[in-house]
Amino acid sequence: MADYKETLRRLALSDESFVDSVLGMGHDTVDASRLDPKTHALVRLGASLAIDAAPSSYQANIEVALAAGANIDEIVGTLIAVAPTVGLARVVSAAPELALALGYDVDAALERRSGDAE
Amino acid sequence: MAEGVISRPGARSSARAERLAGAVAAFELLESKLRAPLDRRGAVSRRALIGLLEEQSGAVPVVVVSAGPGWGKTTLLAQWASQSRRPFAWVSADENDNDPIVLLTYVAAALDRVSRLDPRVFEALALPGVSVEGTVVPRLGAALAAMDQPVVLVLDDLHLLDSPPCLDAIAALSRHVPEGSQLTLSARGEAALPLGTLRARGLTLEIGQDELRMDEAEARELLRAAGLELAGAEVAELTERTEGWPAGLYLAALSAKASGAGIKGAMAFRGDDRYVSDYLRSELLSRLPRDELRFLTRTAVLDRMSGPLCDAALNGSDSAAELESLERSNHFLVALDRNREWYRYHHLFQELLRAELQRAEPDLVPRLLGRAGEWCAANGQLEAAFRYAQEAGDVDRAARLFEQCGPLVYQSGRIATTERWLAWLEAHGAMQRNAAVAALGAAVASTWGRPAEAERLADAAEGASYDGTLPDGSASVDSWLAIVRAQLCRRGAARMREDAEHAVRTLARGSFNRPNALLQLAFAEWLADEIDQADDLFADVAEEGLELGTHEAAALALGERAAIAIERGAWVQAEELVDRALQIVRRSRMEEYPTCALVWAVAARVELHRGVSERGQEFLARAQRLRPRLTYAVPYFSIQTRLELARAYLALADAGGARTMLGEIDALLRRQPDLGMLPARVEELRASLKTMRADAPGASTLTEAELRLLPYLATHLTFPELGERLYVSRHTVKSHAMAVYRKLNVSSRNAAVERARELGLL
Repeated sequence: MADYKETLRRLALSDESFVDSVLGMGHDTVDASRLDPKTHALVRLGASLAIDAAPSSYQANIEVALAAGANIDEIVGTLIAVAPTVGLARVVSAAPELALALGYDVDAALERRSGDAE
Repeated sequence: MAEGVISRPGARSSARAERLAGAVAAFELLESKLRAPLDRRGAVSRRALIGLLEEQSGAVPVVVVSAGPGWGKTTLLAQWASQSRRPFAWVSADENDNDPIVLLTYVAAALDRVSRLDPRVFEALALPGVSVEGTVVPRLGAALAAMDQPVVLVLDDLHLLDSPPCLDAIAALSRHVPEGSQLTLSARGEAALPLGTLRARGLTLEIGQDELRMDEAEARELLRAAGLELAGAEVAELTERTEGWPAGLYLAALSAKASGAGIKGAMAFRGDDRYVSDYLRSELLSRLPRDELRFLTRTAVLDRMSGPLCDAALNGSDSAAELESLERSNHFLVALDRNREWYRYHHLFQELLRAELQRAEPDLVPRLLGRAGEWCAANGQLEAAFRYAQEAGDVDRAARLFEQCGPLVYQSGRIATTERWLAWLEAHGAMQRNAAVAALGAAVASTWGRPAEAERLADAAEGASYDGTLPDGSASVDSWLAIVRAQLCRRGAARMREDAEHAVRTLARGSFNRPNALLQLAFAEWLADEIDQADDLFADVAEEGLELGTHEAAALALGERAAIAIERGAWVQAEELVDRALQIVRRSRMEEYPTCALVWAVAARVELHRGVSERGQEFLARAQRLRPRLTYAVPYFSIQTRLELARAYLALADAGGARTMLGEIDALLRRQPDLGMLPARVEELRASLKTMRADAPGASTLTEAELRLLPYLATHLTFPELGERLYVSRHTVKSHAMAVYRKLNVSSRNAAVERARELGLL
């Protein structure tokens, strides 16, 4: 019997292989979608932005997108692409989370006085 | 001859060092820091407290002794050490221990005297650039936990430490104390140690001012030992006035004797140590013979005193005899060795004497320090000389001394010390006045991954001048500056070539810097796609580097030649070159030098090509550990190493890993695109990656920031505390940590550390 705490931690981390093996959700739809891996990753990122997913979901999606050859501009571009559809409020709430997943803490940057280290 | 040195660089086979320490450090250790002060005849026995300490020996892993100066902390611990059944390992900390490598080397040497430590502890400590959190502390902790007998490890005078890595290391060690052993920490006031959880769980024994306060019986014993016999009521009153403060009682006794006024003199004392300076001046110092007073106050500028050093500082003679006679009459003078060659003052007394010197003869202080520094320099104690120059505020002299001893300190692995000295020199304007020191600083900063500092110091070096001949015999500092200019390559590949050529042309014959200059020239030729010329030059670097002891350049040059051989398809030759490079790296203990990242990356490619995937992966992990240090400060090298890494990942069909490298290369190229043929090579890599499909992101996709976090995950610091150490917000730390867990396919911090160790990333 797997430890329920471990299960919850793995879910919170958005551990895709775990989700695949335990929940049988068949996340790996790259082949079926007939999209190239990068487009596939960006589409999934766009969808998670639309449903206001948790930060670790953004992060996991971004890691996949980067490994598939996307660059940071394309990742931020995805947020802009979905903006008219999902509405400004979603975009505003997603931006700092997306930034954090890219290693940039918007909240801290807004707090910082100019001249402090970046 | 330096005081009580038990090991020195290069003394690995010396029978004396073996016998005394069993341990070999990469730099000189002072014997006196590793010994409990001798239990002094006439000192009041603190039986009750020692009883308490012994009683608790099996119950608490950590003892904290904290009280102001003169409360008898060290005396108590020294008495405990002489009476306990358990062996003691003792380290007296001082300001120079604010380098975790220095502090932990002393701790290891102290423990090693009790029972032989795993030699790998000392090996780790002697590796320049080794990760304190990731490697040294875990190994030392394991060695402490595995001691074959219970031991008491005393760290005295911890208030002199303020470096967070040192304090973190001590807190980490406290978690490895085996049952029956104790870590004893002594400091003035609250030590700034993160011991919160141990305290909350009742695992510390705290001894403070209240416990150290002397009762009447102890006070009487102390006064009697100091030659003052008082009646019961008088003892009671004096004890109350001094609030049982041992130093106060002793000062009162001294002043009573000095004044000849007996009890009346003693009663003038006020127990509050805020009044001690006034009191000391009016009651004690004013009554000392003039010669003795002068000797005491003037020698108080010295951290350690010997007869010859005092003679030099005071411009006098017979200091040795004076010290010997003072030691007999004054309890505030402590002998540091059994031969009575070296002494120091009790810290409290030294502070009081220095305050008096500052008041009475302030103009004399820099001259005393200056003469002391000159004596140290003339007697081969360059580091002590540097510190006296620092204290005297003689920035120019300190800079000159740094030119000589800075590179040696750096090579001994004391990176934090080197950086602290450089920071001090910079804060005091030395970089604007001494171009050679600024150039050395820029070279250190660029090699160790601090690009902003490297640029600042390089700019300072360009604006500064330099008089005289350089330590390597070169006539003009411009030769050194040209090397730095070429290394930073801020004006593109063509200028880099001119700078490197200039340096090679103008350096003194036999300069230790020549291999570095040749190396830059070789890189410049390589960027110009003059591969044959580059290869010849790299061969020269390897040869001259070995001859002149510039091993870092030699190993790197051989690695570069191996990369060129691979490019030509000459894998057998590459293998032979890489073997030679690795031999130098291992022999010179440079495994953790950032420049060796390229050697590891090329070695990984060779192994993968031979089909030895396991060793290939191991070498890759070694390169990855160093990757965060490869910044835009040395742009062509940082890019080239990542290219080699990306090619190794391609050999493993790991597109995610290769793309992570490519992403970082792009960021580096945006800052400096003018790098000859490099951008074309990058495009070739991009093209070959285009059609490759990536698996789920694994360890190879860890970013620089995530790699930087890894060693800290091995500590017990919380995310907000980690954020402070890494200068990022706690949100960022959390986000990086979650990415690390996911990429290592684990769901806890412990498992992440374990997995990282398995992969060789720690």
